[in-house]
Amino acid sequence: MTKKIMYDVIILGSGPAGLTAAIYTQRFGLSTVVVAGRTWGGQLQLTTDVENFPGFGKIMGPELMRKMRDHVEGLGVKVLDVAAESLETSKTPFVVTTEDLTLEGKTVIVATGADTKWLGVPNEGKLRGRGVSSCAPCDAFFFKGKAVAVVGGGDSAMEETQVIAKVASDVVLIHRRDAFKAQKAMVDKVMALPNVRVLYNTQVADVVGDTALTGILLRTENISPKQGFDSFDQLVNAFGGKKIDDHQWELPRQGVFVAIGLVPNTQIFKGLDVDSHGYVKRVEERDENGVLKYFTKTNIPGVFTAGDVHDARYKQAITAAGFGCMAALDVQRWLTETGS
Amino acid sequence: MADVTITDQNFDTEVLKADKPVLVDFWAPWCGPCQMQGPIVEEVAAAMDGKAVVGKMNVDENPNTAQKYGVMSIPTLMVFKGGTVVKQFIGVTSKEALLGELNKLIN
Repeated sequence: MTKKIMYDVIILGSGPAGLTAAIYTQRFGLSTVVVAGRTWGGQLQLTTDVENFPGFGKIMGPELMRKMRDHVEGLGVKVLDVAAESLETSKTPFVVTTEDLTLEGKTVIVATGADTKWLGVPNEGKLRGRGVSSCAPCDAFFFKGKAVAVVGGGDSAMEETQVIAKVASDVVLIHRRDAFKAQKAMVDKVMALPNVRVLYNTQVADVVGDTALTGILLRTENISPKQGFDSFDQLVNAFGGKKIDDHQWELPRQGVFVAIGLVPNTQIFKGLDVDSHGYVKRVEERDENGVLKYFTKTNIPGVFTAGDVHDARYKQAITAAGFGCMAALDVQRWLTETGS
Repeated sequence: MADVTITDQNFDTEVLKADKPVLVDFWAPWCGPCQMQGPIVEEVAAAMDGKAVVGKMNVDENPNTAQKYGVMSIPTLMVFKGGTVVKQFIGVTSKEALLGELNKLIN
């Protein structure tokens, strides 16, 4: 059974970008629907304390998202807990299909965010949920007193490390480069933890284990001077590892948390221009005097974008919310200009 | 029918000795994705009324069963039939995927 409903704007995604856009479009008097996705709320649902969202001091990520959703629904916006399966943009109105519904929209805001990028090593699939995880706040409970690792060098790796270090016996933070790209305040917090050690210039070649993770196969090409070891053997021994050849070694671990980055959720969109990493490309538009007219347009007129699905640079809850607001303002202007 | 609360104590009778397929949702209150999974599991329970048992197990209050089955990520969803695990899903799983798996075991 399919029902057809026509909206001024269909918002795909329910993280800070999508929900902020919904607050604005609804208040503009535009009929608005949010297609929340298979998992609503986005990446903040996988976090614990958020301490940089203005006005909240310190709040749990899932609670912040609950508040945003309550705000949106309180304004009368329908938030559908379904996944968009396709977006048809070859004619207007645009058509979004879900399993049971066909939605028609004069405009669409693509705010589908980004998901965990996995390591892509041979045994990862087999050991996911068996020691390989991407959510320390969810799974820390299972690693009390255990030896674990975190892979990554950005903000999320720092957050995962802080969370897991509270319960694990010791944590090895594995980073492929010689320096972290995370915010200094977060790196400093991690470095101050007594049970965290860092492995620089080290890549994960595979995860090891039969029914549960027992170790991580690592490749260390050039030992960082920061490690304070003269030789590869010294490094391997200091971490209680097992040498395999001149560069490869196995580090015994019962858990590994993957925080190496994100993959934008753009797989279902046909005809929408994305860059080589899959991020939606924005097409800025200026008027005849060079004044910025639209910031969040895509290559398809009437389709706008906001948040991490197009933003590989800032990736904050507050910037996603800001982009959501901008997309809503652009939608309103565009509908007025085109007389739709 | 609503979903059943599974515990370390009733696991044997409610899950292992059940004469129907059983879906168990391993969850905990601190886990964000588990809060998304909960309502999906309740919908599955309503849809499978009388044809399958659908239960939720709080791993914080019932650590033994989770440990026995090697649960190390939540949400984890396991489908049991005749006392053995026939399918396992890691991470938030859609209603369609869960219903599909249970229906396979019924027909």
